[in-house]
Amino acid sequence: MIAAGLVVKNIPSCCSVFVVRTMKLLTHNMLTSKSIKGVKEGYPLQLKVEDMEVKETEFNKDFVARIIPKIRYDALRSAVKDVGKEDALPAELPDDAANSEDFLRKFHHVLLELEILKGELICPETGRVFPIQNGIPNMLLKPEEVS
Amino acid sequence: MFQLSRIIAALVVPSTIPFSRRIAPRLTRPMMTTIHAGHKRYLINFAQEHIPFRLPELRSLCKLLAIPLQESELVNNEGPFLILTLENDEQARLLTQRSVLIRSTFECWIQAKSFANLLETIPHLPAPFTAPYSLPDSSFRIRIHSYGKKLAWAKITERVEDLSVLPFQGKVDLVNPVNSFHVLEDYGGDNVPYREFPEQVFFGRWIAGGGREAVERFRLDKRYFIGTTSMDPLLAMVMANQALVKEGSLVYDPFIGTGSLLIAAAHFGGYTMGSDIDRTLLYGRGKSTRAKNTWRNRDESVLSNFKQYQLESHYIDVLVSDATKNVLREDIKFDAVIADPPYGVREATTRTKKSRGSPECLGSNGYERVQLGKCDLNDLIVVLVDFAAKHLRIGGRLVYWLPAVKDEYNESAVPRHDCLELVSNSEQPLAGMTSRRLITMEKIEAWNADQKVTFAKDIYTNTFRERYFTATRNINGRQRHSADRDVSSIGQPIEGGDVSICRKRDCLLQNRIPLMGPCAKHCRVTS
Repeated sequence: MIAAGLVVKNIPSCCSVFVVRTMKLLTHNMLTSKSIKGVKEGYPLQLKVEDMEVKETEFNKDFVARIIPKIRYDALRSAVKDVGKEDALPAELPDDAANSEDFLRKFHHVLLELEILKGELICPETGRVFPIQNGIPNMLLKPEEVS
Repeated sequence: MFQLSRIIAALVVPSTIPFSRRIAPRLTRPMMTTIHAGHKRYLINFAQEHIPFRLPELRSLCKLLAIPLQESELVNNEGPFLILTLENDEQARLLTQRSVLIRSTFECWIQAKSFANLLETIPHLPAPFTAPYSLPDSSFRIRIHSYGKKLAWAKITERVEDLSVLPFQGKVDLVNPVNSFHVLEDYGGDNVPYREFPEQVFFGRWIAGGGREAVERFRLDKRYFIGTTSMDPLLAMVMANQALVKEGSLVYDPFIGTGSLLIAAAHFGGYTMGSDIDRTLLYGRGKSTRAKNTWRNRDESVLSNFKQYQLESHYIDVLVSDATKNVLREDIKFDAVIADPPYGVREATTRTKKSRGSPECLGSNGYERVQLGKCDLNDLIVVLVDFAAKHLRIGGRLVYWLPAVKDEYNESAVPRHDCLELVSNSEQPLAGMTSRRLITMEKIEAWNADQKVTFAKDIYTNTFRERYFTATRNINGRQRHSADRDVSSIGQPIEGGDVSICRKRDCLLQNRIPLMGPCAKHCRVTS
């Protein structure tokens, strides 16, 4: 059975297949560890990257402009530092950000094109680690951790 | 005048509507012959399925496309026809192409009592109206359709010849005409006796076909990554329409599973993300739900589905998380929340919680997944509604399935919230006395932490799961074979045979039947 060029076979679990599943910084900007018992804000989560790639994706100007108000810029800046791409984004949000194509392209690149395959998200208050594996963060908590 | 001898193909579309799909017989209304030409009236020809979903989809799309509608025209018909007044052809085209429940739309010229009556009325069409179609270079073709009866070939050619009274001067072009004219004869539904004469006959000019081709493209049997509860693509697209998804919408699904709802949202331009508690599913591990394979391939994932349809740019991320726990910043607002929460039938309703002595199942992170008792279904729905109330922008929509047991259901079972307004509630029958309802809610005011979800908590005496399975036991009062009652076999791959789709459209087991059969054992739909 072939689907869209992906070869389908029963691959033994010992082989690692090239899987491109990734976490984007847009998602990181939304995540919080607030449901851990005792945590006040739980934001932003620190990022530790083991494996990352840059993957170009279609630039949609309107979508990126609409996202600006949803983003906490300082958290994005600290994420960008954590992944070692500090120069990719200006230090401050420009005044006319929504109309500046130059800024929007940088914004797009940082939010949607930096893809974390393997790494960790760390609660800033308790140090609790949420693993990112195959690009999918695991936010599940143990029963005793939950408030 | 066109040369009658050159007209060969006039298509007949017989409509054989299964009895089970008819909810109530249509009433025969005494009818006046009406000339609609010149009044911007459009004839909508719906597909004859998912009838309760039609008008809600129509209203949602008109809202999305800013098309004014006259509520008085939105009559609940059991048959496939509805006449709407719109402002222009463009509106009719946009509406139709986005809809998945509309088959085609025509500019309605005449609504008559019979074909003979139609012929008599044609000379009365206003000349200024027909003038543009009468030009010599305006090629055309005629097609004859009948619903509820198969017309003999001789009758069809006779009809086409009779239509020579039309004042068309142009050439006949069967393949690619400038205009395509259609006669639609409505003989009523299956549960009326054979009709000699039609209830009504329409004549109109074809405007557009519905967006149903995409449904074929997204078929589950061809999709790379599926699960036991992947949503059938037609209904997933209805949900995306109800959620007003458009290019640039930010869409979230807190019970993402294999991403079947978000594929539809992405198809309409939504940027999608979601979460699920099932780690093995999201990582593409565990048993396959296809008949042939035993294990999933390691590269099966929600993203692989998006790649299959070239929708990768509209995939943001998935998370492994418990929908009952907050992992998102409170001020994050989505344009739409679309979900199919677990009913407890094919997937267990689970949440992470403390052990009470004997854990049911130990997950690999050391947390325990416990299947709760009677109220777990309601708990998850409450969580979903609460999530949507918090995380939707004003004007955003929540669209989800609410399982219901017919003889116990009433309106109070639908959860309410102060900042959400109920837009629609459409029922789809499942097995026996169970059904599910597509609930659409719209956020009308800002959320605050004091607001709570309200609903009738103890409305069902048994769990949905119990009613779902006992229903299939007692059909016609006879006990089913014990092998059928082995509920553990439901959802498991069938030995031998290829993957195939059950012919019943509503079937939930679409990916798991022997090649040639309908899954009659699991798919009895009784009224």
